[in-house]
Amino acid sequence: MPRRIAIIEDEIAIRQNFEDALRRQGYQVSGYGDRHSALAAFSRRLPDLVIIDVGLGDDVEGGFELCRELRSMSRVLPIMFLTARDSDPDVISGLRLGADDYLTKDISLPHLMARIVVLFRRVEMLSGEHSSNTWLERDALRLSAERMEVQWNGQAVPLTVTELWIVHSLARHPGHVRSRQQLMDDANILVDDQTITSHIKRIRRKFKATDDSFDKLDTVYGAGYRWNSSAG
Amino acid sequence: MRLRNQLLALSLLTLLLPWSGWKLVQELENFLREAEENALLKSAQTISQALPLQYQYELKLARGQILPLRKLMEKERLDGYITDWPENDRGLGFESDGGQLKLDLLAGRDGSYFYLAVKVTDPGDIKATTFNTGTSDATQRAGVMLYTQSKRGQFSYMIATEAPGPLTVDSQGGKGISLVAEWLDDADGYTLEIGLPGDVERISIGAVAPAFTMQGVSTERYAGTLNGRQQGQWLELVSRDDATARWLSATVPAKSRAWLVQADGWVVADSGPAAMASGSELTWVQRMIYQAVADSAMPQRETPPDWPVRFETGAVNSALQGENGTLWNRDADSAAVYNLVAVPVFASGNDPAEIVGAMVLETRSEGLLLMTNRALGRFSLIALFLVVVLAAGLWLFASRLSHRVQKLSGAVSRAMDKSGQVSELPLTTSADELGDLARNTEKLLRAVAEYTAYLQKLAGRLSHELKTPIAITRSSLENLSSHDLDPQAQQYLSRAREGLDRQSAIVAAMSEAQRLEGSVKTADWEIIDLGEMLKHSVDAYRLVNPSRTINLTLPVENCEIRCAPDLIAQALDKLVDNAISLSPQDCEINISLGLEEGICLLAVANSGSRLPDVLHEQLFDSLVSLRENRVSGQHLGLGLHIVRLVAEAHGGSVSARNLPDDAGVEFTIRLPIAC
Repeated sequence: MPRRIAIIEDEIAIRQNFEDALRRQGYQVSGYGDRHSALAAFSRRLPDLVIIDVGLGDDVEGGFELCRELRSMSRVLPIMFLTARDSDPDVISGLRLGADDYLTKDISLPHLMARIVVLFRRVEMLSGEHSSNTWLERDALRLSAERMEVQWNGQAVPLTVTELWIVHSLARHPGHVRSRQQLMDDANILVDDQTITSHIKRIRRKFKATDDSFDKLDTVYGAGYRWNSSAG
Repeated sequence: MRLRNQLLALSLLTLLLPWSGWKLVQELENFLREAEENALLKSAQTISQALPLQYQYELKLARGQILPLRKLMEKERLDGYITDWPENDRGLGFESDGGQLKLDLLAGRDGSYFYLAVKVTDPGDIKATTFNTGTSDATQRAGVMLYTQSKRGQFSYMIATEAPGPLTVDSQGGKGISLVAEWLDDADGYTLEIGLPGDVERISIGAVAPAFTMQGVSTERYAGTLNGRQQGQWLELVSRDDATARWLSATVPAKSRAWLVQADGWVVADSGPAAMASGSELTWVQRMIYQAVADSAMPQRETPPDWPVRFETGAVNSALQGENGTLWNRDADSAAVYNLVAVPVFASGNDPAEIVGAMVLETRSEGLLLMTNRALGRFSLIALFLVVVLAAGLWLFASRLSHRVQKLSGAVSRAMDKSGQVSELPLTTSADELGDLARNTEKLLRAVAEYTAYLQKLAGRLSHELKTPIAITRSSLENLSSHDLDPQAQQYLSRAREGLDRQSAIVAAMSEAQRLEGSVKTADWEIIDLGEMLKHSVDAYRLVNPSRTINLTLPVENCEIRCAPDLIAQALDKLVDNAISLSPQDCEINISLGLEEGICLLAVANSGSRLPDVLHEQLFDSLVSLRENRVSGQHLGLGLHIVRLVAEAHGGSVSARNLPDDAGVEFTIRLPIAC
């Protein structure tokens, strides 16, 4: 049974391109041009993954609104923002609304596919459909790329997919500086340096919420970031 | 020259006002003087014509050789000293033949007594007293021979002594009354004071001196009106006529003094000192003004004797010649001006052209000048006040004007500095031209600000708008690539992707500034050592650019500031990236950190390039690039704009300059430590 993906995007050309690409990957895709038609369809049956554009025509924040309503309908439904708005405040508010990922439209289709696969895999993991268990352990960190799970001192840290991949990329090579470009490649995103910086910032914040003394993520000014095993 | 100073200089023109006033007062003064002179001449003429006949006779009778009797003010003591005589240097003088022997004669009157003062100067080698000691013959003695004539008859006296001191002289022949005298020897002769009875009408007097023994002058020497030792020419003893004087003083105009002068200049009658209104003391200011106004050519007046005996001034002389004479002079100390006029007195009767004397009239015109003085004083005060008020007014006006202009220009330049919002300009509510200027400037500034804001947002907005079509193109290309394409089409596809990637990069760069504004809001601010951070960054730059020489200079002291390190790093990246891409491979990059009065100076310099001389300020504006060849395509002139935004977010600034001696370019970020 193919997974069903809904794309809510007001730009028909983009929507159809994405629909085509996703269909080629074997997904069952339905596209909607505005919030209301999407909601009407979702009230009948929820898809397995929702890709939302923030700005929906004249409804400038319609994507955020839709996300909020979807989240109220289902706590586990994977929601992904795919938008042209890439400013920090937008990213922050998108993720705060419970979206699992926030991607900009610069993303290439292979990247997008990779993210979708990851999201579905996590859903599988959480539902116990899959039982592979390869944990990456570093210091107090336990990270499972398959399960999309991160633990620090045994406590789960709620990271988004991008964030998880950034942590994964850094923790895999402790002490090595990963440049922003490398992090972008590893996280399958194409964003500017500043967005990476704000991702790192959010990651630190999330770890600190679990452990106030967390200081494993070093900024190497001018170069990038590294997992600092010796610190602490 | 500042506006206010220009107007102040202009206001100096008002000084013409007091100057013209001064000129006017001078004219007025001259006019008044002329009028006064004419009035005085008129009254002198009137007096001279009104002179009663009997007084004219005084003048006529007194003609010939006269000896005026001085009015002796103090009771005369016979002491041999003539220094206590009034006008003792204006006596009648006589000389012997050859001039060796001199005789000076003064006569005086004290009530009903007459006195003579005789000074005999004799350079001879034998003193008269010494000579007399050896001469027993009275007719041979040296001394003064005096003949008197009165109603009682004619008497002669030989005044000679062997020793100085008081003398009693009997008349020769013993018929007349005796005279008392005082003989006083001095270095070159002797002085003699003689008392005379009050009825003496005329005298004939002479000095007799012995012959010189050394120069071989073998004859006696005589000086005086005598004929040898015999009586010669008579000298009339002329006393001031009191009746004439009384008439004169009753006739002269108030505050003036009149003299009746006979043909030789001797004063016959004197109306006496005029009753002077005690001249109010002049202040030094008034005196200064007076001296500035009064004709400086006016001669100063020598203090005249209280009772002049004889006039020898030009004015009186010309009157005695038949011409009216006038003389102006002024007092050295007070502001008083004396006007002296002299008119001839013509004999009435058979020969009207005969000049018998002169009427001299003098006024002391203090009131007149003081009056003009007061007017002048008032005028100059008012003028001065007006000048001051005018100048102050002009200066105030100019100051206000220049202050307003300054305020406006300051506000405009501040508004220009801040390239952001236009603050309210002053003066926009003024109704005058400056107000127009302010309003127009404000309009202009608003337009510029709007334009600048538009430019700044343009990149961000443009990039946002471009993202969607790029996404369409990208997704379409990627969809296309999933189809089976022949190699040629594959090639085109990859080219299209390449171009698209570049477009994406450009769009990302364009929106960077806008995103930065968001980042500033969410940035983490922490206190870090800037030096430590620079060390790491430079290490990274060296790693990334192994072929370039990158030098780092750090200060000795810690450079801890509160900042958003990510933003600083971003700005530094831009500067270093600029420096590396703009300079040739073999040129060095110098990064330095310095401290200067609470400000951190972060400088990135590179050799081998140079900024154009213009546009230094605009360099940091959005979409301004000074790169000459835009080969790389990604230099939209946003990098330095980012640097500026970062610096401004920290309350600092950024500047660029060419290093001296063409050594390269230096960009400096200035960050206040306490921010």
